[in-house]
Amino acid sequence: MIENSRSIDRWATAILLCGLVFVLTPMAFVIVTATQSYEEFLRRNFSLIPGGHFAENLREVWTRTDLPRQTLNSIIVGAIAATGRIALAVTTSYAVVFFTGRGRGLVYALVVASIMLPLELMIITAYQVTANVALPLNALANAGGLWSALAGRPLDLQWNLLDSYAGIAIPLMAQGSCTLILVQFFRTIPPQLARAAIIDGAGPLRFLWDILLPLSKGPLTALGIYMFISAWIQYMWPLVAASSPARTMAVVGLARLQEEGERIPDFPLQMTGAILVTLPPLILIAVFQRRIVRGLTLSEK
Amino acid sequence: MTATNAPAAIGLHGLRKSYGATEVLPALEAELRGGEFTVILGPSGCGKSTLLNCIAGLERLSAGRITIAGREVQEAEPKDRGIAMVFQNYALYPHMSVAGNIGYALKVARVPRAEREARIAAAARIVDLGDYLHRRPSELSGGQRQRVAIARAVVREPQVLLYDEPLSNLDAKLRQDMRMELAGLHRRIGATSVFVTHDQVEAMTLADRIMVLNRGRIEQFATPQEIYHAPATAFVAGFIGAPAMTLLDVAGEGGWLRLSDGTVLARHRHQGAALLGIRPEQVLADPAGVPARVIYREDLGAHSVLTLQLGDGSRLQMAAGPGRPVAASSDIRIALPAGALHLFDPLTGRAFARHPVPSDAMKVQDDAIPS
Ligand SMILES: Nc1ncnc2c1ncn2[C@@H]1O[C@H](COP(=O)(O)OP(=O)(O)OP(=O)(O)O)[C@@H](O)[C@H]1O
Ligand SMILES: [Mg+2]
Repeated sequence: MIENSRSIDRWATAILLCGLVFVLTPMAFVIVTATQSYEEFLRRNFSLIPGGHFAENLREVWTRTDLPRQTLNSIIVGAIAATGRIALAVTTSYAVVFFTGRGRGLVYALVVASIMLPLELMIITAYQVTANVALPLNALANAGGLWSALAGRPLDLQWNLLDSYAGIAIPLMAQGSCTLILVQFFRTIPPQLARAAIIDGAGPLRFLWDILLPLSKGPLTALGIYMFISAWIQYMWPLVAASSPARTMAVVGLARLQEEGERIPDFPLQMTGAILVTLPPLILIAVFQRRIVRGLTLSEK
Repeated sequence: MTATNAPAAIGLHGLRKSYGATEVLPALEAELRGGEFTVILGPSGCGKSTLLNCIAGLERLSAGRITIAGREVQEAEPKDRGIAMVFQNYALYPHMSVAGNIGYALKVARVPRAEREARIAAAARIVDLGDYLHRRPSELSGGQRQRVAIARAVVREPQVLLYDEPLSNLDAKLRQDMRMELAGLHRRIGATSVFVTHDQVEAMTLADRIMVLNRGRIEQFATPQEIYHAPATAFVAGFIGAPAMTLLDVAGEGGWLRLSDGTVLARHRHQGAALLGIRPEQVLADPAGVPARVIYREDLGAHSVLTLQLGDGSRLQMAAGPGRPVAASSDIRIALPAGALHLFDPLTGRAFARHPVPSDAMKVQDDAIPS
């Protein structure tokens, strides 16, 4: 048995090492390239010999590109999207698990179905609605010429959210995976706890605030970080929804660095930018690592 | 911290509860006297918890009325009914300290901090938890957790204390200790108590009166003595006692009760078909009695329980004292004393004739069993 598990250990180690090489090699190229100067890079092409120009590259990214500003944009949009998704997920899951209202099964099914509809699939509709949030309302009011008959002309309200933080972040919230996970967690909370709280005189909001949320701290932190990162790495929607450099998100900005000029792209600069853009999520994970792992097992001690 | 409220009677009037098409409680009618300790006893799934939740206000009634201290409460919020509840799995708030758990209801009710702390301390003293106020529930043993749950109920000074199988998660020894404590607690605070269990030992030891529930119907609501000695229905007879009463199909004719194969079992005036009930400890060994074959024997130390097979194949249990052991598959002869017989209607299960509580029928003859 012991030999057996030892050989399993060796195999596991070998497999892990292979995986590590697989994952780290591109990372190594990124980091090494970021230390080279443009001239060095042109001379040697891609190489794994580090240069000494990282600080210089960083200064250039900081001063010559929009990346610092765009990183801040990403932080803001990521925070709004993550907070919004968590808030929606908490309220939906609370209703689905702890209340016996009519139609809650249907609501839950619809929310889960939204997982199968990524934003990329609805991007044109999302763009139209973001360009005018009142669009659905207009369409509803004008159905069958209703509003024209009442007011003399069709309803035409305008509310453009394109190129704003809200306009980028809110469509990113419309996705049910958070709810799916949180419903599973809430189901592990003994229903007797809710009954005890009712006997103690706590109303539904009081129970949510005093008992359910404190008990869900771990999973909520973990989910929040996932959601922040998943907003961070969005490309398609932020590309479409933000047209001015002032609202462009970091990942989009990073890709735009490639488009500058016609000469051979300044890869050292781009790689330095990539490191800068990766840093905030990385720091977040480093700080909350233990909570994330505990949240993954969906348990609270 | 002793009774500040007068004991409150609980009235259940035509109480009905169904989930969709399944009727769990069909028209219940009962009066639980103020200050009494009522135990609701019944097999799993008979609707005990449902009934308790209805009284607590955690379930809405389908029909009927509930009164507590004369006031109709079926529409009132649980917190306004003057009740408190102890749950089977403690249901303590895991992220709060013991003091936080006990005092949560007071905090919600905006009781001022000083008064709150005094009442928490008093409640903790009642259940002997004074030293643990700052611990988390996860740092307590099962027994201590249940004490916290009891303190959490008591701190609100309720008129009615509801318990849903509060002891079933504890081991046997602790259960016995907690039984004693609950009895003491009931004497001290004097609140009307309603205690749900499927454990008849808890019911017999704690109850002033036991309500035996079967499929949502009250089979009998009486003192433990009456329930044991004069079961109103065959169901109660077969449920109470360890081992429970044996029930045999018999026919009465000409002053004798006979089995289906004609074997004469005992003297009795009853005419016609009946279910005959007899407690195992009241079956006597008698050399001139009915022949029976021992097919199984369980030795419990203080006594042993024999399973006997009678002439027509029906089975009967008999408790024998710690005398000479009787081997399995030996033949013995037994007698069923007339005073120990209970007869039930085979169709309705109702008792035909009530027996007075017998004075000497409990005696068990130890060494009269032939080997
Ligand atoms: N929410 C519900 N929906 C449908 N049926 C239910 C519901 N709650 C309980 N029941 C049914 O009602 C019956 C009584 O349940 P209840 O929990 O009151 O039983 P109990 O006597 O407390 O049993 P136990 O000793 O196992 O706790 C059961 O048959 C159960 O299936
Ligand atoms: Mg129950």
